[in-house]
Amino acid sequence: MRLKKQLLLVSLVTLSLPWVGCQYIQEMDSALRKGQTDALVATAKAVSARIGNDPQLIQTIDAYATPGSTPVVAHALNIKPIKDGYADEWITANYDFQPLQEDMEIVAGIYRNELYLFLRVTTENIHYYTPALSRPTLADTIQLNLNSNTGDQRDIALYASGEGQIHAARQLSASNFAIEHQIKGYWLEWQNGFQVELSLPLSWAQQAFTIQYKPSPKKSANEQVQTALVPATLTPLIYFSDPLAKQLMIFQRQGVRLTLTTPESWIIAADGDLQDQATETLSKQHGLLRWIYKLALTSGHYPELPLVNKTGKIDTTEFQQTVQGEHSIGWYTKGNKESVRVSYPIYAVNETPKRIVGTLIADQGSDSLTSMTNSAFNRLLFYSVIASLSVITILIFYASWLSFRIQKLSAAATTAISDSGKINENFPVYSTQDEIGDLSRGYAQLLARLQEYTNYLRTLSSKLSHELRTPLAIVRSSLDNLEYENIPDQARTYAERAKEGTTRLSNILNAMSAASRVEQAIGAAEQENIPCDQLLQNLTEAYRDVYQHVIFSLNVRSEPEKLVVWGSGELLVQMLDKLVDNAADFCPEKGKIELGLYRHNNDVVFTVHNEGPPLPSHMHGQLFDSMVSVRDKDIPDNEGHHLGLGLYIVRLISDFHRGEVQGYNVPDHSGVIFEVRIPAKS
Amino acid sequence: MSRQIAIVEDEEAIAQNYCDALRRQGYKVNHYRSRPEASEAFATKLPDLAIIDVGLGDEIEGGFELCRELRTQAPELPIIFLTARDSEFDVVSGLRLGADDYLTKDISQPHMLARITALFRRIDALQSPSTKETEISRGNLTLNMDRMNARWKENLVDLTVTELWIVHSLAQHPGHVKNRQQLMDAANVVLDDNTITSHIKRIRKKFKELDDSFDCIQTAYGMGYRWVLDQEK
Repeated sequence: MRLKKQLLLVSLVTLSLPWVGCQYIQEMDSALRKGQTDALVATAKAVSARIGNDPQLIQTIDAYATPGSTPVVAHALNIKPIKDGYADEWITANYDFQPLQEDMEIVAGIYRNELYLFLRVTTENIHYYTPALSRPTLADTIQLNLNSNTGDQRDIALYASGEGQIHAARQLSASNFAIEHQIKGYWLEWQNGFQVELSLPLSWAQQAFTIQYKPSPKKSANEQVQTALVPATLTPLIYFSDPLAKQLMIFQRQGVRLTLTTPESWIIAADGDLQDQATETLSKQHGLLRWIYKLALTSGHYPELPLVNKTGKIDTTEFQQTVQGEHSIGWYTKGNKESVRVSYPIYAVNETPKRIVGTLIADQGSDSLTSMTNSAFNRLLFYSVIASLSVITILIFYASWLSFRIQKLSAAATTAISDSGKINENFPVYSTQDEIGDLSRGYAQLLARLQEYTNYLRTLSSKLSHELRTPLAIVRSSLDNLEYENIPDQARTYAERAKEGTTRLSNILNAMSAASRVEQAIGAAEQENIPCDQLLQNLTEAYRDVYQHVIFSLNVRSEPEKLVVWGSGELLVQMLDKLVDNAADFCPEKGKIELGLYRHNNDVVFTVHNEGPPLPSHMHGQLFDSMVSVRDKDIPDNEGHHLGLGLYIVRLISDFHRGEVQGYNVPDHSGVIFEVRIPAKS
Repeated sequence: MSRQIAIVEDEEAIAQNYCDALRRQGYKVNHYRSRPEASEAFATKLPDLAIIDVGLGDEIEGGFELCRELRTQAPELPIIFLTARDSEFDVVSGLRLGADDYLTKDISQPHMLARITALFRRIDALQSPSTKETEISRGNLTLNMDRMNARWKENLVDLTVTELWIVHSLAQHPGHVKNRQQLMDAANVVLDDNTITSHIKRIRKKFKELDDSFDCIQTAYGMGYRWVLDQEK
């Protein structure tokens, strides 16, 4: 994997920033929630204490006590129901029917001091009132037992003589009924029985309100006629109490809903609204954002908050604990909002033993918190995206810069030593004080040492020749002197041989120092324009004379322009001499040597192609080094010295001309081609 | 009166060998092992020819130093550098200091003796009145091999013996190409091609100092050099 990709992957770590941020926000959120619930608990405690300290209020609450019976809950209505026997307005207002008996369910509501009732009775057949009946109670009736707050008691029977308006009759005595005009209603049949919708003054029922369905006595097996309308117990009507609501209003604050319930969990007062300013802001939020927030920040899944207006009863888990005498806290969701509910028992302070008279429930929506955390999350998201992007960008730039430097270095390292073993002298040395700088300096040092060593090796031959010349001179001059001495013929032969040996040595030394002399010649070379074709023509002629055993051919490709190089003719000739000399040595008797010349891009290419044995592949890189000979040791060498300096000199000269020299085998291994590329003079 | 030759050489064996060889030829030879020793001796009496090794003991370039001293004392004294050092730089340095020749130590005795003879001939020619001499004239070039000198347009060209022999070899048959081997043989040196090339270069330079338009020595690529008569151009 390239460095850039690696760093890109590393930079993905920055994507953990939002996660960390989310964790932080969640922590913050839970801290805020804690604060919120604490504040709410404090509010609930204060309200409870306030109510528990007021005997009058306690009395008010106690009035709602409904031991052992099911009271009717009267919801506070916002619109006036139309008394037509249809349940539309109740259903749309989302009120639950309360089953009072197994064959009757009811839903009640209060609108402007009128108590509205909707009854649904299940019965096989309806017995309507007919004038033939002596009492209304002999037909199917709805009985109402009402106590007003002034102590008036009314026992009322509701009946109908068919679908339509109902009749209300107040029982004055066991068999005496009087028409009650203030109760209006409508009787309507439905598939399983009948429905009644009616209204009566609320004041009649403020103390107690009991309602029952009494089927016609004909339906019952024993023909016992119940005429009495008064039930065993009267239950209070559960509806919102104004004095209690006023108390709650004192503690009202935005976004908090306070609810008061009896110990039986009937709601008797409520004030406030969970909506606050943040709610509006939140409702304007984009759905996708909301989803993201929910995903990132929601700490848990809470149960749905039950709608109190459905039943008029609070019946959540924490309420159960409150009845035990402890306050408790629960979290709920309502749609896509969350709310906290604190439930606090209300003790009658002045009574002993302590008695729980009711429960205070404080609800608060977490909208303000949500909007706060959301805006924090917004900022977090924004900052972390910016941070991530900038980190990634910076890292990519940094990686590019690093990899550029490393690439440059690696390219330089790759080309530091050319195929021909030449060490490149402009190796980039970084001045930066980092590891890459160190690496480049290390490389440069390595190359410098290598260069020194290579130079040492290259000059070794001339050093050697120089060192050997003195002892050779001693031998030689001694042998020269020996000629003038009287020595036996036998010894003279040896002296002759020794002399031949020294001559050979001398030649070897000359050849050895030739390379260094070429270097010097290069240093002092005068350059001019050399017409290559003419040069090669002359040379081919000369070579034909010198190397009689091979057949020379010249192949100069015709070019539109003249092939001219800027260089030293002497040196070029010397270079070609060496190449041809080499070629001729390996060329079999009557073999062919072809000298070639052509243009390739901006280079002039000289080729020397000879038939003969191929180059050994393992010597490829060293072919042009000093003192390397790839000659077969078995071939007797007439010249007596082949130190492998020939090709080294070729390389020196081609280097001087900023050229490249290469030797390779002909594909069919029938011979060898040496190529020298020299930049053409434009 | 036999000639006096001074050999300044720190290598005992070589010095003795040369001494023997030269004495055999009838020269008187003094051998000095170091520069101070030689300087001291030269202060009292100058030799007729000095053969000096460049490296003298610890002094890597003691020979050059000595040559400088000698030249100030005796501008005409023939000096031959004999050394194991054969780098182009050394050759040029030695010749610039006014040495008459620069030879490597592995030169064969006959070659060396030929040079010494030639140098003495040059000296004698300077001192003796002109007798009937053989002069080769090629255009503006006049070679006098008895006096061992060359003239270009009547000006003396300051050539070493080796160079003179090369010029002689080339100018003898103008237009004929002499290859390097032939030139080496003529100059009594056994060296490689580059030495010949640099000799030719030096010769051209010396002529050019006298005449900027000198262009008589032409390179025949791959074959050698030829002397072209200036009228022909």
